[in-house]
Amino acid sequence: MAFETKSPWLIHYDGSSCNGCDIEVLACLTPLFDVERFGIVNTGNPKQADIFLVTGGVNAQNLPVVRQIYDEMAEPKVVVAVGTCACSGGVFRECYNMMGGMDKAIPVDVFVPGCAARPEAIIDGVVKGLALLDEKHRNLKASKTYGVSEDDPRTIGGVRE
Amino acid sequence: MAEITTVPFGPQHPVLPEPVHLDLELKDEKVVRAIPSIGYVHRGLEKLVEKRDFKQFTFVAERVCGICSFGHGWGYVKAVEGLMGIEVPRRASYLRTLWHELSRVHSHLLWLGLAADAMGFESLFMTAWRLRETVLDLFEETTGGRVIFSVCKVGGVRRDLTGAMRTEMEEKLKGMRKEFRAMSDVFLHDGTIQSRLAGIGVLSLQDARDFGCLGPMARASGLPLDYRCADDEGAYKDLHFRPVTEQAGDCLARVKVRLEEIEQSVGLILGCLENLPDGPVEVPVKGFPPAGEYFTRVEQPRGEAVYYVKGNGTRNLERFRLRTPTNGNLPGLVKILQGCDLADVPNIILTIDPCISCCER
Amino acid sequence: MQQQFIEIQPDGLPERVARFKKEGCRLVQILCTRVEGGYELTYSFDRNYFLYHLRLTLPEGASVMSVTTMFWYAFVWENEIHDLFGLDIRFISEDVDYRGHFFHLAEKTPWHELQKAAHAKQAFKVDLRGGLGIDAAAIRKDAPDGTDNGKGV
Repeated sequence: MAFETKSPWLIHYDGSSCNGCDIEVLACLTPLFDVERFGIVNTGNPKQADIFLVTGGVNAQNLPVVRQIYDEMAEPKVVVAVGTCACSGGVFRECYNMMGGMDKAIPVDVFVPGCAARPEAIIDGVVKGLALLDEKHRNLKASKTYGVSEDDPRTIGGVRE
Repeated sequence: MAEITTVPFGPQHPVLPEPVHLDLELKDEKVVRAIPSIGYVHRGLEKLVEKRDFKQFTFVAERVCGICSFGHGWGYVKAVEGLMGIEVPRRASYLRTLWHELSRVHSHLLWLGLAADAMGFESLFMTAWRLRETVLDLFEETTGGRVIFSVCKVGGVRRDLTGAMRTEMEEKLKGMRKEFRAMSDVFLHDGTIQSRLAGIGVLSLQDARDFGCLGPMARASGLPLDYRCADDEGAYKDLHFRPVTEQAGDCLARVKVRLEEIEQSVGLILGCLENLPDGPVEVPVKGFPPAGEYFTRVEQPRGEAVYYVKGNGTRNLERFRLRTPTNGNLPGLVKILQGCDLADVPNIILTIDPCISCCER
Repeated sequence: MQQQFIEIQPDGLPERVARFKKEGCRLVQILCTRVEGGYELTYSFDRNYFLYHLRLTLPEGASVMSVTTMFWYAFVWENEIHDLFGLDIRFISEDVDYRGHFFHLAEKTPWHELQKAAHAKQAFKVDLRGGLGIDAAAIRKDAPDGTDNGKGV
């Protein structure tokens, strides 16, 4: 088991949503649900984070913000889309300023449905993400150039463009 | 003379649960001007009334914001009921008041937690959110949902309270009130909190008027602006409601107002439970909203919200408009940020209790 | 709720608003609605929980004076109306005039189009395409800077 999966750090960003899922994400950190028992800590810095919890859909203005946070995170990383809006756009899918779910902006690994997603479901999604994180860590280590993911399409012959 | 430096604040920031961006123009450590820029959460859901049935739209209206979700649902159905001339049963009005006040307790506890977290007082954040779970349990027990529970509908409410629920609610609330009083002592008497909040971000009474402030922010400056005084639908008149005010207008006063409002709301809920009238909780709704328009208001946890609906005789409404409290508090925030220290900016932003998804809809 | 509508001409707006300001009223909101051949604006004022609505109708392409000189905080709604409806509002106070950059929208002035009456019948058709992450795979392949994290490699 990789070090990251023993104590993964979370970063949370709210896309274009009602904040129902946000407060449920925060509720996960508090005594009743307490994700800290899995070693999970909430951080505000993308550079220290392993798991990107993202709620809500994408619109023209937050698209670059989401991509930037994703790019600033170090490999290996896992993206968990929390809530129906982040999965597909939800009730707001037909609004003029919504581009759809989070998968329109960044590659999503785990989708957690629900409106609002319950804390139990969010914790389950994060734990599922941990298995992926472990796998990604192993792939990264096995790749010839340590530190650059071979699966990254921007990497050609082990050298990042 | 120092030059002006611009520091971007947000949209992703540790103290902000929701994205808002501010350009802070600094001279040394002092903020000279703050320019808000919004639009990160703008969905355009007001235009969805053209695609959704007027009954279906209740669910969309509840998703304007996840924290004051019940209030938005109530405001929307109240406007539609006004347009269609529907008289809601008294029991339904009482139940709406009850859930609305429970939402206020949940919203204020959530906010107290976030404010403590912004100061770095982690254990207080955890305590506040632990207390909030009691309220969420009550929601789950009575309606089935935790944060968005879709219990309001045009013509009444979907669920009724049973006798067992009433006694349990009373017991749980009284237990919570005891723990809450212990927690509010920390907010009122702890030295660290005093030094972080007292005298910071002062908004005078005149400024509160000039900048159109609403809700707890106005009430902390001594402006007794609370639509619950004039509300004729809910149970507030029967329960002899009086707004809570403070005079100082600083961050500490805004905390005090919210602490007292939690006490008051618990009192209102217990009053509602005691005087709950018997009878049906809904009336049948026939036909579509007629051509015409209707304005109504609801006092949300963050201040007064204005709802407007315009019907044209079809199943779809022609226009729905919502003016949310954060929308009205944004100019006040710009005012109190002028001249404050950079280190106090997160605290000041939090004490207006910004709800960005409300603000941008 | 107690309220009163007052129909006025667009030219009379600043004077009327100034009178409300003098009487100590609070500007509650500005509402803009698209109507056939133009816009309908409603300025709502509150005193002692009584609402006064100033109602004016503007033809297509017209402009209206800003009220930010009297109620500075109206800039939130005036900028919003400018961005969403494309209505020209003159002389918004210089420090808070966003010049169309208040909301950053993919589609400019989405409310400008008049509502189609046909919507009423289509309301019950629910489009179920594009559901739970179905298009994720397609996006990963052809997005210019989308990275594939090699799930399942």
